[in-house]
Amino acid sequence: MNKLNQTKSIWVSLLLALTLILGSCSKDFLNTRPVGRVLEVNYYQTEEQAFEALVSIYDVLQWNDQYGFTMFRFLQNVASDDTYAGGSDASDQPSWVAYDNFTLTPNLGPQRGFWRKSYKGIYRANLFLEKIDGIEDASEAFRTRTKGEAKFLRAKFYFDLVRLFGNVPLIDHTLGASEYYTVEQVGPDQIYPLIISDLEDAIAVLPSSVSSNQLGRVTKGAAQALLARALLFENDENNMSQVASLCESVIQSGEYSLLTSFADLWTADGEWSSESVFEITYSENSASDWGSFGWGGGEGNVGVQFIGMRDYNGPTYATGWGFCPVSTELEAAMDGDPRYGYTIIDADALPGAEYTPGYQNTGFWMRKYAPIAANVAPDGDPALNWGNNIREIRYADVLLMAAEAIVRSGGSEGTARTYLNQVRDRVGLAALTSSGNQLLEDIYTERRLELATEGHRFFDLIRTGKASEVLGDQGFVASTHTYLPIPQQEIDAAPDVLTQNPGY
Amino acid sequence: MTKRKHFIASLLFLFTIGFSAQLGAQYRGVVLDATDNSPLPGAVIKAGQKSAMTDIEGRWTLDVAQGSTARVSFVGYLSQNIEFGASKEITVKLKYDQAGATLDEVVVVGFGTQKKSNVTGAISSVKSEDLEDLQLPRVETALQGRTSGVSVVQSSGQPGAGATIRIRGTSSINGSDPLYVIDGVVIGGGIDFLNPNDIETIEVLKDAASAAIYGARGANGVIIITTKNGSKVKGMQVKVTSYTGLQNPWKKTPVLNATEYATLQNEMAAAAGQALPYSNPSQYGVGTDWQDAVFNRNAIIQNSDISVAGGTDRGSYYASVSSFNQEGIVAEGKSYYERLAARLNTTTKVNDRLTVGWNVAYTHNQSNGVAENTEWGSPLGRALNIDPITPLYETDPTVLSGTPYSSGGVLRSNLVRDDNGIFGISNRVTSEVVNPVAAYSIINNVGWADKIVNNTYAEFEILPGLKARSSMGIDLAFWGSDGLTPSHYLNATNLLDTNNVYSSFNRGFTWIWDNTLTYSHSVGKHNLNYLLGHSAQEVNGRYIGGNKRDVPTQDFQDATIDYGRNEISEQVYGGRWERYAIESYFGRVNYDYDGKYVATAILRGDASSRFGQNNRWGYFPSLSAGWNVHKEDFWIYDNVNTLKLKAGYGLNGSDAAGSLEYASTIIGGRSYTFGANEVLVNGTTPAQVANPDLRWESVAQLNLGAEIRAYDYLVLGFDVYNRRTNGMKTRPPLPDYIGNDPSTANVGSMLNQGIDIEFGYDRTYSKDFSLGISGNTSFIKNEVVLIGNDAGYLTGAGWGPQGLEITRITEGLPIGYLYGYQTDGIFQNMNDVFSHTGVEGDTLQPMAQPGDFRFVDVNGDGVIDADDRTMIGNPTPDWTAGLTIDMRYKNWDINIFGQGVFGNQIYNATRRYDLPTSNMPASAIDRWTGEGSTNAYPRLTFNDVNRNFARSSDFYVEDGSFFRLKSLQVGYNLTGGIADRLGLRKMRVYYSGTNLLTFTKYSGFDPEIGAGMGIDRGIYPQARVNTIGLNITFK
Repeated sequence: MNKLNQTKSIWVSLLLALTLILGSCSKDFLNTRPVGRVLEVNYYQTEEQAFEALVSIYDVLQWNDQYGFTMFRFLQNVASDDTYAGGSDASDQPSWVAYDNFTLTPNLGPQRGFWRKSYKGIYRANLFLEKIDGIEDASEAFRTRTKGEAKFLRAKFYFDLVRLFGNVPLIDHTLGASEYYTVEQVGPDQIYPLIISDLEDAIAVLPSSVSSNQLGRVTKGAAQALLARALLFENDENNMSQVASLCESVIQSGEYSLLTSFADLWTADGEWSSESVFEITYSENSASDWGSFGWGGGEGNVGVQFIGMRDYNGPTYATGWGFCPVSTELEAAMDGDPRYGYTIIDADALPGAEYTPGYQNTGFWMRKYAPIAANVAPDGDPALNWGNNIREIRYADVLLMAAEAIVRSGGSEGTARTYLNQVRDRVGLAALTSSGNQLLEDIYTERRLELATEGHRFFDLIRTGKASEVLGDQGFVASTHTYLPIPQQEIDAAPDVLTQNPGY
Repeated sequence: MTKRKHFIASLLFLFTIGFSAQLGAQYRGVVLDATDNSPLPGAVIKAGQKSAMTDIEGRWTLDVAQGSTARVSFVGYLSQNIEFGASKEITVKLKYDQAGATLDEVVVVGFGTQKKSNVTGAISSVKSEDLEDLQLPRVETALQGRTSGVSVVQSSGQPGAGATIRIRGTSSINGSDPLYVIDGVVIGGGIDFLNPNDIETIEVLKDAASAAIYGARGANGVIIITTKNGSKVKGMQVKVTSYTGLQNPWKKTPVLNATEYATLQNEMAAAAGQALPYSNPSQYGVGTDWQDAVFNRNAIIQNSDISVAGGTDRGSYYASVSSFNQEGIVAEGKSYYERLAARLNTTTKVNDRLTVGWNVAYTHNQSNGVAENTEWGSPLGRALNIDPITPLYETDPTVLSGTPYSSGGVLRSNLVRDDNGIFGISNRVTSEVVNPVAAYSIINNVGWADKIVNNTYAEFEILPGLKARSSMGIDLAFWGSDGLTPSHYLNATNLLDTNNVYSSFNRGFTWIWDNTLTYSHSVGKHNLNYLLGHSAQEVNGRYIGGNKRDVPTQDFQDATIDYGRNEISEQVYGGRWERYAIESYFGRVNYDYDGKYVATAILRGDASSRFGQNNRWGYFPSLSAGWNVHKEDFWIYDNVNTLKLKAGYGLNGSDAAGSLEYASTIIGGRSYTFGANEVLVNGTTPAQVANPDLRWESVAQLNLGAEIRAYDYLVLGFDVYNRRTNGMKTRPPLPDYIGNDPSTANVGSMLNQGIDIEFGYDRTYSKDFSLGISGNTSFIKNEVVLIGNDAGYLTGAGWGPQGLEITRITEGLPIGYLYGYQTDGIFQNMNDVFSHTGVEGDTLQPMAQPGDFRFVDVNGDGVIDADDRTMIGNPTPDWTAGLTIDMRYKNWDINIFGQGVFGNQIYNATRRYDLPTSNMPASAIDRWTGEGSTNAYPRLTFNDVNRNFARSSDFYVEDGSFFRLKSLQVGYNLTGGIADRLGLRKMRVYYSGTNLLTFTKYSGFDPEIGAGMGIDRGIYPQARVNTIGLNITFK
């Protein structure tokens, strides 16, 4: 070994020894910075972040995909006598079939998806309400309005829960780990007060209208109409005058009017028309595919795909999956009504149309939300990207609620008839002159025909006590099926908190 | 063993030249192998100060006095003394030292090597000698059936598909893949970049005592791969290997032909009171054989490889280049894999104390794949489900002018066609079940990867016995995919009007820096070896991708995103990975006393960025000991050459966790649409509840084992183990009313218990004939001990659009067991229906008809409902076995290798039960048609109110056991004069057959289902391959 090599060797050995000793890394070496996301502890600081948190509450409104297909309005059609379950055959979507013929069990039915969706929305609203006051960056006006929106949305989710389940845990703040199993399951008498106070708070602060780029955000009119609907469903006769006055406020606000053409309501241009009090918005632009299904990620309305005719080939419509065939009862009830053609598709009358008949096929299909070939989404899976908004509260509904509440609270039958006849007049039907109980029955009939297949019928039957009579043939038993079963998985996860609803 | 001897012989031959010119020869002779009388060149004859070495023919001459003695020795052989007597011609026959050779074998144990006799853990080895005659598309295949306790199941038969490897069972619900260490570099992202011919050894560290040196990542076992290097002794070696094979499907799954299909569809309609869809079933004949249309026959598999290796006093080198191409047996042209790999390994002795080395490998691969094992549309899944009445091509102009081919009387522009015409479209079977050939013909999805793995190291002997080593490993990988989805119309729900081009690009970069100090010394018979080390590793990555619609070409070769014309459709995504870093300290002490008593102690501490400050560090100790009983003085059983007993216990960790899984982060995409212009506005929420206490999963394992060698040619290895996974991360299903997703928590535990047995028989009977038999078998029992939620189970795999739950993970049962209803035959008449009653005498299935399944009221509550679902099968085999037989006769060799798994079940989910018009297995012909007809296959109807098919039940569960003749090889070795004249050291020509025979009761394409956890959703089967190959080693 020559000298040069020896020197080198010493250096190398020194270096190796040093690396061993000094090799230990700095403390930061093991800390990972989040990429493209923020830690919760560093969030909720700015108005922009607060707004994003608010949007996430709205987001829940449009979910259709919790634990399978759980389209709220379409499933209400299935439960009612407006439509059947349908699908390819009797074993397609068992939870829809179970809701249709009331063979619901704690394990079978759409309850789990409804439950999860509502509580996700409630959590996000609670979180927002807890954070918003601490966000110094946000303006007072912003805080006031967004709090109103969050309360509206929380009330909406509780209203869904109380109608669907009756007895649910009342949670008005985000739960810490120690509280998970200390919540209490309470009945409607304890849930309605929260719904009412949230909506009253919202009414006090929400704007009466929003600019066109904010369409979709809730307004005072929406909050008033929702409160009216909630009180109507709570069914306390003492509250009917309040329902009437809430509806009157909406009517008198001058913000809303009936569209001249009933048909235009159901076109893409008919979204957010003067008749819209509140809509749940969907977009055909989010390019969703099945990869995001189940995560509440898509922005499309898969319900539209469901109700299309199976393997359809023909004019106007796009193909669908054959769910919600219109019942022969509804078809008969609408016979001769000017709204028939905008409510029901008679497949036999379509020139050159073919489709595969599936389970419970009647040949009649839902028209209002039907998949239209011209509206097929440009990107993603067409099935998951229908843009049809759900017309959650229409002005026509407000008029009919007003008429009903006026009659039930002993108000002016003349005013009630005026509202009823506005709805009839718009589609060219003659004015009615009935009074008393007959007037109330006429209002109910009008509700059925005007709002047919919009998912209101089932709850209307429940609240008017007609469900047993109308749905008895379908298997409905009032003592059991007024409410859905509490999801079995939920009872399994919290057996000390939750008790199953009677009859299940 | 003859192979080994020849090998050494030819190496030493080179050195004989210098010795062979001896003078004054009095004695001469020859040294031969005692078994086959072949000459031993390079043997040494040493008589006092004088010595001689044998030449290539084993000959020697030595000038010594009569009456003196000499010792004849040769590496690997037992030495012999000779006496120089009257005869001047002496023949010496040396006996091969089998036991000695085995005991001197060295095993790679992680950060070093150990003599096999001193190993106290459970380590299985596969050597290059065992691999060099095999055609291995991928390295993982080398372990299949060749090592006990290691389960290797091919994910599928698709070219380039990986394998699921489980060492001693599934240890966690969160990831049970072993750790791969290649030439000291911990490799992520799979090992398919390796050229199998580059591998020198594969060691599998199975027990905790061995794997503890990899601490936090050793929980699932460690696979250490060492690549080849040259040596001075071997001299320069140039090797060329090449093979070409033809691959074919070996089985078709019988389904209904067109007439049978129409008949049964009519029967289903009639039973449901519907109009009959087919007026005269027999008019359709046999119809289309979709499996014939989808399978690609005589698909080619090809490999060529050249390597050069050698060494001098100052170092060694190994260089290789290889090229591998494989077509798939499904979807011609759309399923293939190509790999180009190059490697250079060098070491240089800078001086007596310093050695530096460099291993670098570059691999490029490219592949196109079709969907497999999915009910959402794979070529084979579609072939089984589409009706046989639909033609492959539709040529009838009348049909083409109607729906669905034409719309409004005009032929659709986006119908899929090829040179033979327009592909047929089923008007009967819908959804994803489209014409499979049409569907794959429009797939263009080329994946590619470029990977460079480099390891540079220096080793320095500071003092005698004290060595420092520093090694820097780099793993740089680029991968991505390019695709074009042409516009198409496959059926009413599978169509695209405007084509779409997409592309993605990823880069991953890992460095790992290991520094170790080792010191060995002996005091009397006490031998000690110490290791101290530090390791740090960091992983970073980036990605970008995008797509655009409307490229003015349907040709994949021309399509690029820039060429797309629809600006609105342009989408870009991209970002960075959250970095992953791990830092570790480790130490090991090996002790032995005279080779009799051996012990190893290991302690490793790891800190991972995947965990929060509360539990960032994990410590993983192990202790093991062994006793070489045969070295004791009292050991008098000469025929039992080796008896070693060993025991070890240790703790390993697993940091299988997501980045920042312990934290609550805010995530976006919770969007909502606002405004007249429908603007999607981003919304954000916390992703989950935080859990700053999240920590490592750990596996505690006890291993007891024995190794026995008898009569030189019999070996038996035996290990029994108990592995318990603790702190297994689960996401306990909190009640949904909490409203936010729970974080993962270390609550679960799992238990694996088993026995691994390896045996071998290796005997050379004569010069011309030798026989080797080796086998292994493993028994394993897996149990999920604790899930940690009130329900006691986790939901497993789903099936079909209704997400039918078909597997579960439940406390007290094996992981991922098959889940559903139990059937108890078929109701033959209404009396059967009425007499199937519950505890209170109520009819259990009041809706049922004769011909429907009788479901079992498992919980006895008088109702058939979801609570009656139970364990109906286990996808994990009870035992596995592998057997290799190696025979050599003169220049011929035969190698037979078989492998099997036993006691497992497969869930046959190949038919779309939710689409009742889809085709059925041929077994439907024997459906229930009336009282007494069958008790196995229910009646057929479109009104299946009993949900015979729409419930998960044991009807879908089949025996998954199989034994497979994986390979049969016949080779001819050219040696001696002819090879010599051709300038070759060795040449072997062979035929090899893969998957020639499979014994199974399973009715589907292939019982080997790796990716699906025992669920067959229409898998891509393994091919039967017939191969011809050539291996040449040049002089």
